[in-house]
Amino acid sequence: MSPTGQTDPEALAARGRELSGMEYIGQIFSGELPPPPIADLMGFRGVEFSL
Amino acid sequence: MSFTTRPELRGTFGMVASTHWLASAAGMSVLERGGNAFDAAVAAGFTLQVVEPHLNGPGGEVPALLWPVDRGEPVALCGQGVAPAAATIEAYRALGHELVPGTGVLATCVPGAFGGWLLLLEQFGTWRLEDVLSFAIGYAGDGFPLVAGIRGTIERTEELLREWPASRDLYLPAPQVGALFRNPALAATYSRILDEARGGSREEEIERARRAYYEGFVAEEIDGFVAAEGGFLSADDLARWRATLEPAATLEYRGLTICKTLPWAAGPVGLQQLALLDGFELAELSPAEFVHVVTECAKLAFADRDALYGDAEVPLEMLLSPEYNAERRALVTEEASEEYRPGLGTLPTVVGAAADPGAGEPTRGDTVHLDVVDRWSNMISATPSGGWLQSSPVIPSLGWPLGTRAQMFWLEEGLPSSLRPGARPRTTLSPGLALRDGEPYLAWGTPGGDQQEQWALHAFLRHVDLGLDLQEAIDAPEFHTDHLISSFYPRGFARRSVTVESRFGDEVVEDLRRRGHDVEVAAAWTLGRVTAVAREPDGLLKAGANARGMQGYAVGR
Repeated sequence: MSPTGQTDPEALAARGRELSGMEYIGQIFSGELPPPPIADLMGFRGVEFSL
Repeated sequence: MSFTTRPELRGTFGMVASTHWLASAAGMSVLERGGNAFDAAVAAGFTLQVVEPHLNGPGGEVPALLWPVDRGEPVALCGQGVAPAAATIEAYRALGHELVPGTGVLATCVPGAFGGWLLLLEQFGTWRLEDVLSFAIGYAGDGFPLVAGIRGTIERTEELLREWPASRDLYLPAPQVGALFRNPALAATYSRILDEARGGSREEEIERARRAYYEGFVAEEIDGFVAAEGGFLSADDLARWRATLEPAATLEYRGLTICKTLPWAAGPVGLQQLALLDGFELAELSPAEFVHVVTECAKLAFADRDALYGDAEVPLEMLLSPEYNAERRALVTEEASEEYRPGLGTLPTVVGAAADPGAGEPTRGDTVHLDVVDRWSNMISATPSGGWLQSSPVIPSLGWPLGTRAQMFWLEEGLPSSLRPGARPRTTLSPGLALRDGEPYLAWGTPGGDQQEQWALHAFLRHVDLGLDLQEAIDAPEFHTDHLISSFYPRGFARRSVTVESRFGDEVVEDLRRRGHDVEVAAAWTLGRVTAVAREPDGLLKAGANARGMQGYAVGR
């Protein structure tokens, strides 16, 4: 469990092994994958993303 | 664990290895944006045209070996252009030539690289041409850091470049190493092709781009320039030519299926060496014995190459048969052979002439190489070459020179590699692929002219027979022989020669001399430019790249 209690960083990182960088970021933006713990901790969110 | 110049890369997502870090990074960027190995290879290949213009360019050629997962079989890509319709033996003789010259437009064939990359992208890629070309256009237009090899080449050929106006304007005075260098005309050529191709489906764009080059403004510029310079290549030659997909030549070796091009290029000479070496326990040999046995087998295999290979009927099945190789293997003794004896066929008569290997320098060029594997197990090994800045004048409106590959034809009648209009020159270019249990295992290769099928072979043997990892096999001390008919003007032959990196040590050198080899000791870290990518059955990907020359890199994760 992450310090914020919301994201398991290991599970998130494991998905990154199978996806291209753009697919990975795209799935975080679309909500299919959770944001990384740092986003919760610092309170930031993505604004713009394009392929 | 022994020291290696960098780690053998391991990962699961994708690997790109090439002779220039910018091309490797461009290819990796394509993989990260969802492209497949073929999209990445095309992007890396066009990038290499820009950043290594002394080793390849838009006027050159590209052969490749690939494993498209959807096909489930190895495929050879032939982006090798053919001799012009007017390029007959009589026509060269009438101009007073005994050999096809190594410089100038007289030596050009149809430039095949553009058509080859486009066919690969259209058949096996997923990206639009504009996206894979963006790296090359960016580096040509905005500048790329100039490597030392480019400046060295320009300095060596300065007198010649001064006589070629557009080459002089682009490359003189010799630009600074490490500073940004631009080729705006090259960027404009590729941008104009994209502009003329834009619209419709991905495949329609690719086809319009092909036409813009081979039937449109590029062909017109080439036609006019060559006519003015007194060459043979015409717009009709370009319009008639197409890149093709071909079957691979294969050989079973130590549980692997090794795939090379058919004998229109030199690839099968690697298979022939393996067929001979199959009878030796290489892992039990001392370093000197290893160099000796491999060199003696090379002499036998290259003699067959020089007598039998070409864009013609070649008895490859017989040449790779156990019976034939048992007979040939018996010719290997403890002594360095003086002989150059093909098993059948006739050698070109020039083999008797004394010539100095490397006498074609400084205008002779070399080659680049790239390998890619993606997360879907698509794999490709490509060896682009030709269109060297130092060998032919830059065409002013296009920003790059034509190739000089016709120098690999003979003007002697009756040989498989005799010049014939419409035939492919028998090059040294040799991409390679190895399968294990019908799955792709290894894609690898190297630049190096007649050394390609030696350096790449040695790295392979050290990986497969001696059990070194990819990076160890690439780092291991290299060697090669010039006891073969040079594929380059003026076609030298150096009897009993072996060149070894000094890292082999005095003991090995003395041992080889005792066996009768004429040994030249080269500086450490100067021979071989192999790169490789591999995939294990569980999905583990691996890569390695040559550190010599301080350019090649593998990247991946």
